[in-house]
Amino acid sequence: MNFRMPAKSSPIFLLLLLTCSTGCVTQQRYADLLREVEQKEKQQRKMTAQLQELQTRNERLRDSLALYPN
Amino acid sequence: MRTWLLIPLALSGCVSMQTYRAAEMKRDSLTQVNKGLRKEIKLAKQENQALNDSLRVVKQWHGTMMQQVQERLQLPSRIALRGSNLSLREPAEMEFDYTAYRSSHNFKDTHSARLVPWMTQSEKMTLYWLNVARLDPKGFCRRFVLPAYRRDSSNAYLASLVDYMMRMQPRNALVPDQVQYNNATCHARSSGSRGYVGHTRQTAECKTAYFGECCAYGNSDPLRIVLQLLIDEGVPSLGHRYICLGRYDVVGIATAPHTGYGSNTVLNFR
Repeated sequence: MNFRMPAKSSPIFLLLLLTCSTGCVTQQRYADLLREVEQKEKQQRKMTAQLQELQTRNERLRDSLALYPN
Repeated sequence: MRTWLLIPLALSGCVSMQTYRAAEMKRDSLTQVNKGLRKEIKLAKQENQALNDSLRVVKQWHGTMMQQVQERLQLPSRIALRGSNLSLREPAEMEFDYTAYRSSHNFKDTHSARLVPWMTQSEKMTLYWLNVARLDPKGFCRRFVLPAYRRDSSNAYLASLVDYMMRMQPRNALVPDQVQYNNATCHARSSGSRGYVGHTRQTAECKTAYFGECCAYGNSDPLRIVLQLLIDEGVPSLGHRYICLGRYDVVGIATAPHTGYGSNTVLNFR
């Protein structure tokens, strides 16, 4: 690969380049991640509600079953 | 100078690695939680399916059983024809002014003995089950008598008890009475120490101030004692059943060891 450094590169510019390549990520990538987190949170809320509903239904079924003789 | 101006411009377009890592960790933890939730939902669905299946089977069986009982109730003579010499009574005959009876008696307190200091826990539970049978005869029958009837449907004692309890009106709850309790205790202890079976008093101290008395031998479990008296197997008069489900207000229940049967319980009704 033929990589060429700018002819007039100052040390500050090099430092900035180094910081950006190792210590920070683009806004776009971060926004994607946040969207993913939000999606998972939404999914979690939905599944928790579903689980609670199932547990309530099971509890009621168990109660109904207890009313009948064994 | 132009390079210095470029620094904030370039930095404004990126997010620090620390913030990004934190968001990544949150995402990973959410992934784990969601995985666990998915497993739990799967298990809950399986349990739901199993419970639904069980309920369907139980309802089906119960429906068949109730149909059989209804058929029997329409033809009560079948029991008599079955060759038993049981003294069968029609519960409907006993229902005189039921509304007045219901308003003047206790129809709520199943566990009326819970705060009584002189009774043992086992005696309190015997009264509890007796009151459950009296206050909700149909429910008690469905729960405890029908399973036994299902196992032995040719037993005339069980069949007649099913008929009686499914048709009778609820009775009032019995209240514990100390005089009846002392009499019952005296008879239970004197009978137990002598190995005696019956209602005749064995000592002069034991009084008979009851209107009805039941003695159960060989059982120490409260529910079994009540079931034994209600089924009344081997007693063609079915006297214990009619006393236990009869119109009384108070009762004294005493359990004592018995040399012949291990345990005996005396119930004095008034």
